[in-house]
Amino acid sequence: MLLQIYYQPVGILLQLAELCNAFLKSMKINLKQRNVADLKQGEKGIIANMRPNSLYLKLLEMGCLPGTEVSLKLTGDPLCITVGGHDLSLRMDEAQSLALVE
Amino acid sequence: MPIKSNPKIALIGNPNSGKSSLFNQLTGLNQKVGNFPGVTIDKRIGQCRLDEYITAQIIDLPGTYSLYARCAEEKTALEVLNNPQSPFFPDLLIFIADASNLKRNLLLFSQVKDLGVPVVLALNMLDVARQAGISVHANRLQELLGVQVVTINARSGEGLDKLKYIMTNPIRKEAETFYDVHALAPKAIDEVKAQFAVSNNYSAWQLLQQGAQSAHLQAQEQEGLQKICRKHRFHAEELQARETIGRYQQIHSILARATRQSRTNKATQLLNKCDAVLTHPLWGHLSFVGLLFMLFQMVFWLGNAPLPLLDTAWGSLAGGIDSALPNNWFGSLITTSLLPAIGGVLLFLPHLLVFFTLMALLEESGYMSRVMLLMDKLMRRFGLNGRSAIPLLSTAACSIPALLANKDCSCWRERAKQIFVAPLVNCSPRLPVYIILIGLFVPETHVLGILSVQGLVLLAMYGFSFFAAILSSWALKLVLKVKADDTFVMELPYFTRPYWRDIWHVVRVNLSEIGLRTVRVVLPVSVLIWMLLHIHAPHSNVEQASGRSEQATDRDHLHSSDPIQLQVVPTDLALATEVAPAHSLAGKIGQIIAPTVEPLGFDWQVGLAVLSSFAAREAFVGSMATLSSQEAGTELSLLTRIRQQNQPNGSPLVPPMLLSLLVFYAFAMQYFHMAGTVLKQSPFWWAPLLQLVYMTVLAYASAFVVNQLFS
Repeated sequence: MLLQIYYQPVGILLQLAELCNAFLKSMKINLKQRNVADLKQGEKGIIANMRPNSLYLKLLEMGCLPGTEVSLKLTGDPLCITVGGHDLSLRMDEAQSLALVE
Repeated sequence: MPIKSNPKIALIGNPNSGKSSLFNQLTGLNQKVGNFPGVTIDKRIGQCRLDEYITAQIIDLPGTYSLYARCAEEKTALEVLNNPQSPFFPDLLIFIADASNLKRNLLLFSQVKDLGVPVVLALNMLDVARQAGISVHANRLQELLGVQVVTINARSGEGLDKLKYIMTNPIRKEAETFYDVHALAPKAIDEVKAQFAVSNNYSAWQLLQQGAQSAHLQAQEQEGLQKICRKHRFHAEELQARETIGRYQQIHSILARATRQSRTNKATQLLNKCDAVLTHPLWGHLSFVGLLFMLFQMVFWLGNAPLPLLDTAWGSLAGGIDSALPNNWFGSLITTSLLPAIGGVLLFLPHLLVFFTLMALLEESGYMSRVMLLMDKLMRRFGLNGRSAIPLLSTAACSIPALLANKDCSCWRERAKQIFVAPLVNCSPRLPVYIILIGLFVPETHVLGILSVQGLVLLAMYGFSFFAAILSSWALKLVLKVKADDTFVMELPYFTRPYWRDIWHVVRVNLSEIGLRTVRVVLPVSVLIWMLLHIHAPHSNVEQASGRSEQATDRDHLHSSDPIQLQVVPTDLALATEVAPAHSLAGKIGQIIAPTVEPLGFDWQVGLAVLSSFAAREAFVGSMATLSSQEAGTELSLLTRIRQQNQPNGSPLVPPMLLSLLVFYAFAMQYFHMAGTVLKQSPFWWAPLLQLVYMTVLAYASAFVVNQLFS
């Protein structure tokens, strides 16, 4: 994916994180990126940038933006996350596609 | 904006933001509302008188999160807004925003605003926002967004006068663009603008994004759009993501200045804990079943209390009418057909009242979404989405066909699902009928002191229909490999305080519907049954003298399990129209169907009543009341009459005949009305016929099994 440049500090941080990731990947160091489903109940994380697909677009619209804080409210499948002050229910596979910033 | 005398005003907003409530308030119509997403699935139109000269046409669009459609109902809103030639294209848009979640609501708002249609922002649910610790400065929001902002409460009707005033006097102002997409794909947008005579950047962008799937464009135009996309390397998904992120960044900065978030209060934290229990894999299911259990118990506890009184009152009323009427065919029609039929439904009014009130309370509170969340895991395995749980516990039953036909592909698999699974999942309209049947036929006994057997039977029937629905879906999944709706990204609304007005509204709508069906279907069917009972069957001219004994043997044969019937002899043979039931046309038909229904444990009278209920489920009660009134006369009260008819002495707690009857009703298709709906959605005339055959066979087979198991 081409680098997208944001004029926000968060955006720049994200880009840096992604660069690091790409660097590690090119060094054949396999770091499995954590996703929302890996969170423990009540734990918080920051959503990372992702490659757009139709699910991602839907999640974006619902407020799961890269750089926003997300916390896991209810575990299980479907689980429930709190993002941007509101609760969202997701299935496990949908939650797994929401990557977190390391 | 020049005001027309009949402007078109569309309501748009996210799901569950209160559009239907506002629509009801504005038009005075009765649309279903509820505290869960997706109550409205199709656009609806009503009239609203704004002042002496202006009557607006109000269009209620289904809720959507953005202008990018992912399912059929979102498409409805989109097709209207993206097509200025549409007959529903609005002159003014009212955007209803849920103040407790403004950020996400403003995303759609910003898109709609950029389309260039004049828009007014109605801020709704401020009470919920306050509860969540959010305060919104409407004035500052108005400045920052550049549109008129009205605070309303769509449920109670606060702020509506101001909204109506703005609807009649919208400010004519050149709306500035909220987020300019031109920078993202300048060349492609310019080319579309030139080719398609579109002046607005965002409209052109929308054409590029979704024009190729849009129904109002011709194939040639769609091809043209695709060509432009290819030429300028318009990567739809990537650009869409950039647009969404860009819009959110602006919304963020606006909201930072117009809202303030304080700490959430204690109540919210407590409700969060509630959520953890209500959606827990173990406690969640337990509390769901527990709630249903309580609900059904309440229906019979509270509903049975006034039952003897009502029965006596109805009995004396019917007796009075009986004595006032002449003793001819007319009197007989009234006293043995119409009155019992009405009474059969009327006696259970308290039950239904309690039932609908409690159901509406559950719906209003926001619990439904938790049920969907809970059910999704289970239902997904069987090929259903958790959202299909709505009709299992809701009065908004009509939504299920659309839910199942979620993907707009018109492939035959979807259609098969429509025919075979939808009517089974749609089990909530069955519940009122179950309540009446159980109230009529199950004895009012209690186990363990207080638990009503009737309530338990209802719970069992509910569980049975639930499993029938998911099993049929699973079978279909195995056979056809139908894939379930693949996303479950759903908003979980806050718990809200129920509004009594809305609850009363739900109760009223449902009860009046049942009343209407009673008048339209139950009464005509009862009259028909009465007529059949009073027409001599051909070839049955038995002599009066021997008639009595033969009649007795005949009846002995037909209901050998019913000793009471043998003692009851029609008293007034003076009636010219008097025909012994077994020798009437009805009896003849009964005899013809008797061998068919005997394996199910029904006698010919129940069989006839079941046959009549193909018109509407409630017709069964009317027919049963009519049939039982013929022989038992009017001395006994209606309730005892019908109960005696179907309860052999020394019966077990629940007679097997009743169980098989209830199971039959779990499957049998009763509505011609429903067939009509299927026909409307499917182009094949044989679809409803197939459905009728399939469901009747299923009903017959399962009732047979149940009867064999229990008797």
